[in-house]
Parts: sequence; C-alpha cells; structure tokens
Amino acid sequence: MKYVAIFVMFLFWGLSTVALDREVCFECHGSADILSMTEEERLEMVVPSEGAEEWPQGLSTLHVDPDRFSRSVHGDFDCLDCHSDISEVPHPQRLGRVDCGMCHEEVAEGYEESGHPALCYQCHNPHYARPFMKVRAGERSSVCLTCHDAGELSEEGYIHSKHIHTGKISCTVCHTLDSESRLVLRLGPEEVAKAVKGKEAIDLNGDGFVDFSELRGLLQGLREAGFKPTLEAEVSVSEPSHKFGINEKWEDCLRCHSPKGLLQRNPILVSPSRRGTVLLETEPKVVTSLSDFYPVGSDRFSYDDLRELFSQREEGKFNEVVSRIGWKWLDILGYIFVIGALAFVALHGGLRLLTLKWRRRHHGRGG
Amino acid sequence: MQEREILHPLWVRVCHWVHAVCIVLLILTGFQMRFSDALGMFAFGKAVRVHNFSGFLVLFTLLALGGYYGLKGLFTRVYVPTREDINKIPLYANYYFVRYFFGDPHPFTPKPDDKFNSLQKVTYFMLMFILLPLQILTGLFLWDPRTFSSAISALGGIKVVDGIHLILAYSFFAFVIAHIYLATLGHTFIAHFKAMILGYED
Repeated sequence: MKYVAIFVMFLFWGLSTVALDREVCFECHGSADILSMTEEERLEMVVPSEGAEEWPQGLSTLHVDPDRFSRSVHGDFDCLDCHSDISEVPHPQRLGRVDCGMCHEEVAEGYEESGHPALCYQCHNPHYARPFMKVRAGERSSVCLTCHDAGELSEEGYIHSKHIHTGKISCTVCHTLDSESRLVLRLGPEEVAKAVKGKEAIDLNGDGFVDFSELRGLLQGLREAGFKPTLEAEVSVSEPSHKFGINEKWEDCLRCHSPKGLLQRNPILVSPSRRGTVLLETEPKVVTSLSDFYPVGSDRFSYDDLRELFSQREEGKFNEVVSRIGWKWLDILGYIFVIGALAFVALHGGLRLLTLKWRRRHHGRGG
Repeated sequence: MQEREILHPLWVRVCHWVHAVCIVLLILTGFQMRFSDALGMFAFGKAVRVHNFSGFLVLFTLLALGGYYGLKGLFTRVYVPTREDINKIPLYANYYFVRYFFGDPHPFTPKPDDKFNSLQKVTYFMLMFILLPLQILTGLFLWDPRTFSSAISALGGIKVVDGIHLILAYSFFAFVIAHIYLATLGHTFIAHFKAMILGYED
C-alpha cells in the first residue's frame, strides 16, 4: 500500500494545486500505511524543509481515517481550510501550526489567558472532533487528566478524591470562569436510535421541551419495542469555553447538593435518533425518576409536592404526580416514624406524670 | 461492703457512648445533608466528612462490641431472642403500656449474662445486628458509589440504596428518641443512665 501512496505522490509531483481537495490528501494520509513507512520513505514524499520549526507531537497524526473525519464536526471542511500553508503537492515536510483561533476565536483567547502551555491539537484531535454535547463528562475530564495527575489531584482536596465527582462532572464545570453548566441526561444505549425517528418522536406536542409525561412515554415505548433504555445523568458545561481557572461559585457544594441549586435549571436531554443526535430541554422533575442519579440533598419531599398533589383533580394527573414524587415518599414514611416516636414519648410521659402521685402513694414508686 | 454487680463492663460502656455520640452526629449531619438548604448546623462539606468519619467509627465499635460478646461466649445469650423471648413479648408490652402506670415492679431483673428483657432483646438484635449493618453497608456504598457500582446496580441504582439508607436513618432517629425516653423508666429517673456510666445500678 505504501508503494501505491508513493506512486500517487509522484503522480501529483509537479502539479500545482488546481484542485487540491481532501481526496487528494487522503491518497497519502487516508491510509494507516503512512505510519509504517520509514522516515526516509516519508521524506521522499515531501519537499524537505531545512531548518523549519518542528511542532510538538500531539493527538493529530499523519494518518486521518476518512470515514471518521467525515463524521466529525469538521467533516465538511477541506484539509486546506485549516492547513492553509499547503499550495501544492508534494507539500513541504514541515507545515505551519494550524491556527484553531481562526474559527474558535473566543475559545482561543480564553485559553491563552489561562496560561496553559499545550497546543490545541495536543489535547484535541480536530480530525475526529464530535459535537460538543455528545462528549460525555468523563471523556471531557480525561482530556485534562492526560497532563493533570488524577492521583495528585485526589490528595489535594476532598472533591477530587470522590471518584463520583470526576466521573459525573466534567472538570470544566468548576474550572472554567465563564461557563454555564447544566445537568445532561443521556438516553442510551446507542441502539435506541433505531426506534427514535427524530425530535418529533420525543417532543410530541412540538413545544421544544420534553415534559415528564413525554419522557415517560418515550421510555415506555422503547421498553415495549424491546429495548432496555437507560438515562444517565452528568453535569457538563453547555458551551465550550477554555477560560480555565477556579470558578469559586462552584466551591459551594449546595450548587448541586440542594433543591435550590443546579437542579432548578432545565436539564438537557441528549438522545440518539435515526436523524442524528437530538438535544432538547426537559424539566428538572424528570430527575426524580432516575434511579441512578442522586446528588445527596438535591431532592426531598417538599411542600410544593404536597400542594401539587392536592391541587390535582384529574385522576391521570394525580397518578402522574404520585409517580413523579417517587422515592420522596420515603420522607413521609420517615416523618411518620419520628412523629410516632415523639407521640409515644408524649403520651407515655403524660400518663406517667398524671399517675405519678398515685404510684407514689400506693407503691412508693416515682420516676 | 457488698461488691456491686457490674451489669455493663467498661468495654461495653465505652462502645455504647462512642456509638451514642456517633449516632447523634450521624443523624444531625444526615439531616444537614438532606435538608441542606433549610438547616445551618454544618457546612455541607463538613457535614459529609463528619458523617463519613462517624459512620466508620460506628462500624468499628459495632465490630468491637459484637467481638467482645462473641469472645466472652455471651453473644447468643445476651442478644439472640429465643422462642421463649418471643412468647414473653406481650408480658413486657403489657408492663410498659399498662402495668407501669399502676406502679407494678418491672417483671425482669437484669443480670450481666442476661441483661435484656424480651422486648429489648428483639429490638436490639434487630437494630444492632440486622438494621445497623444494613445501614453501614448502604452508607459504604454511598460513601464511594464508583467502587461499589456493581453492588449498587444489583440493588437497583443509587436511589434505591439512598432510599434504604434514608428510611433506616429515620428509623434510628425514632429509636433514639424512644430509647432515651425509655432509659428514664428505671427505678429512678437516671438509674439506667448511671448504670451505663458506672456499670452498675444502685
């Protein structure tokens, strides 16, 4: 295969870049064979660049999988849109650094202010970049953890030492200064896409919002279709930002561990579908129905639940509120236990006081 | 001078009071975490740390207490209810809820190797050796959900684990209220408290 690549390179030798589209680039870079060539063989394919600056190695490699590239967020671009210093093939051995800031200006500026030394492609592989909200919290954090040692971080503070935090919350939630964070609910597994036609299959009334009954209907429908749908929750920033630092407002645990914190904001539902990934806002109440997500203190039976319960006249709606309250019913049971114990003490103690004189007179027993 | 019979050996008293302090702290910090926005006893992070520390201390003292009675060969006799104990429950219930108000003497005299009446035996056995271990186990799962993720999934998710932990916590809170009150039902108001400090009753 590498000989084919060398042949193709010779084919283009001397041609000016009349039509240097990405197919031309993939003739050499689209096959993994380029990685197994010797340095000398590769040098024969390019114009040697004596003395040109060599950039540090990063995630980008000489080989780019054309299929994965096409599926990436940059998949509609031509190679020369970013590698703009190429004007002909064979191209110079050493190319200039791609300036991601040409498109991602705001992110690049914020990143520069943060004082991080790494170049964009050392952390991200632009050839395979996925839509931002499709990248899970754990995957986002793993980018940071390639340089920042997880072990050392866990010794620094309690929050880092709790694995659940690093797995369910992306580092950037607390470590970007201007980001907005949201609870993200990921519908899985990926196969459910076969049964979800698109946005309209989730947001049935078309109001751009998924309410509790719509989500329940979706999950029920998937179960009836033979799937085992899961809803995984995590906390992530909703817009990319690289203005890294310590966002002090997130040092307050109650931003997540309180009913008045993060869970007051509408979570984002991320669902696979036949027409690609669907992102829709949903209501915080749906979090109650998740069995595998519970930031301690974020949810409990409240006066609002009680009021909602008593204000429902329709049977269907009443049942829905009962179902939505879910595990929070345990608080009611708990209150009954505690009130029961107090009532026992009050009743027994009251009778004890009332009978005190009588007991002393007849048996000489007090207490 | 007549030597007093030690009802609660020093080791048992130490374990009891460590338990007592820890259980109170666990209840307070647990409530602080659940009612985080409404209560202001501890900062959330501190409540979590105190809760975790107290939880582990309860685990160790429970092992120490169970181990002590196990080594002495008294565990079954002191804590495990027999059929006879079950049959006698109505007798003691009748005493606490009825006969007590008539000034009848307590139908049970505690001895070092048989110090709980049937009601106490059933209650303590259930609480200390069934519910408390379950509470400690669910607490461990919540302490590090990632390490125990497979156990949590097997139980049905973190909310199920938290639900069990929560309802047991309410049960322990209710028990503590009743326990403190019932401890005043000795032959004097403080007789049982004194026994748990000095080891013997007057």
